[in-house]
Amino acid sequence: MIEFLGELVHYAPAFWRGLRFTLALTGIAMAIGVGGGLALAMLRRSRLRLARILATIYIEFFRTTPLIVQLVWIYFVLPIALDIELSAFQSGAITLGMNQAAYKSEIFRAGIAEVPLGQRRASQALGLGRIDTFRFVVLPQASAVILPLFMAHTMLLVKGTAYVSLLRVPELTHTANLISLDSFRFLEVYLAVGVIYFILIYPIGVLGRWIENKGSHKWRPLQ
Amino acid sequence: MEFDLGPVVDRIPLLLEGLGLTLGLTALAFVAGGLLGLPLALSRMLPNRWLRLPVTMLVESTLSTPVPLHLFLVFFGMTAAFGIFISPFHSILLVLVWNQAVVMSENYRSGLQSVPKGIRAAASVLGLPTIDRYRYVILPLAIRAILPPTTSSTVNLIKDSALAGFIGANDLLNAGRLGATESFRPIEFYTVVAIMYFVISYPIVWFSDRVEHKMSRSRAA
Repeated sequence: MIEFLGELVHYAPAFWRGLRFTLALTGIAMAIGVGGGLALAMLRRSRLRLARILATIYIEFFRTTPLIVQLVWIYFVLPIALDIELSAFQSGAITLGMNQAAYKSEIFRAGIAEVPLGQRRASQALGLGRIDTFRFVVLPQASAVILPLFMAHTMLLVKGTAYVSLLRVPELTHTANLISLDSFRFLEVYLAVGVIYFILIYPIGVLGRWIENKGSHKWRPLQ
Repeated sequence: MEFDLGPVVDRIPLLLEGLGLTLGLTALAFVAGGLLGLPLALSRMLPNRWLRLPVTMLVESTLSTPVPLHLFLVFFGMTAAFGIFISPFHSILLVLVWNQAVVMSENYRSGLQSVPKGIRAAASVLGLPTIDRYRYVILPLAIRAILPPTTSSTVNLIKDSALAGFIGANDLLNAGRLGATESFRPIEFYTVVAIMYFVISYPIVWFSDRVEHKMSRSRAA
């Protein structure tokens, strides 16, 4: 096992490519997730009943079906249904992004719900518009609830990119499959990739806990 | 594009068989993981930090690595390194049980720690024996904190059981995939499979939202 660690260095370029794919999937999905999540959270507070219902159906569907089912659905069904072409990478990034949007919208909703209604009434009475109320009153206080949850979901997102290996996108997990088939050192390669994931994911959790412990006292909404 | 459910209807028995495996895996992992989680949680709360350390490392490294990787490590890694062949069913079961145990241990731990120190102290000042202290004071409060995260862990468990097809165990998703390949009807099969997952998971999500709503109301009162 020790001598194989030296051999692993030969595969460094492959690991590096895998890491780049994993980070790219994470970044794209995060962008779609934050944008889509904010939009969904607003739709759920909209005055239009239909908008609320559609947003709820979207969120519940993505929360209750497995990520892999969503992946194969978007990879196999969407191109036929909409007559478009989607590469495995694009399907993976879109699925992760749409999945994240559903979860992120729930986080935003929880954060916004934490700010007491009285404060919103007060800022309206002070003459602040809807956007200014959100920007200056709701958002700063909601972030105390949102940030720790946001970190926890970012951990889930990085782990979620491993499911895209099903579509043979050469991110870290699929790279591990390829390298272990090439070297026949399955255990060592999977353990090595596990270490890379740990280095990526563990600090996010530590940061989340730190924010939760330190920040929350300062930012907690006034009751 | 036409939507033809005929091939799906023909393969309903196969899909139900897959559903059976999905539900079976989930139920087994829920019970075994729930039981195994308790000693894990208790050993992470030991006063001696050197006894805590190995368990903490195991739990943190499990939580910081993706489940598909665990599955490959068990299914391919064990065979290649030690010559131990673990069948696809046992591999996915092992991975699900372990992950559920780790997640549940975190739920138990945060639930037990959510009971304020003052309440524990009050119970012992009143002279309650240890068993009664847990039975009447600590556990009723802790369970309220444990229940909501447990329901969402259960939904995650159903979702992770869909990894079984990665290594060739015939769960619901894999049954759908076989049907889709044989009949060239991916739209119908994957849509029906997605709806079936929704049907089994939604009641749990609904229940958990209701419990949370009820508890936040009782907290406010």
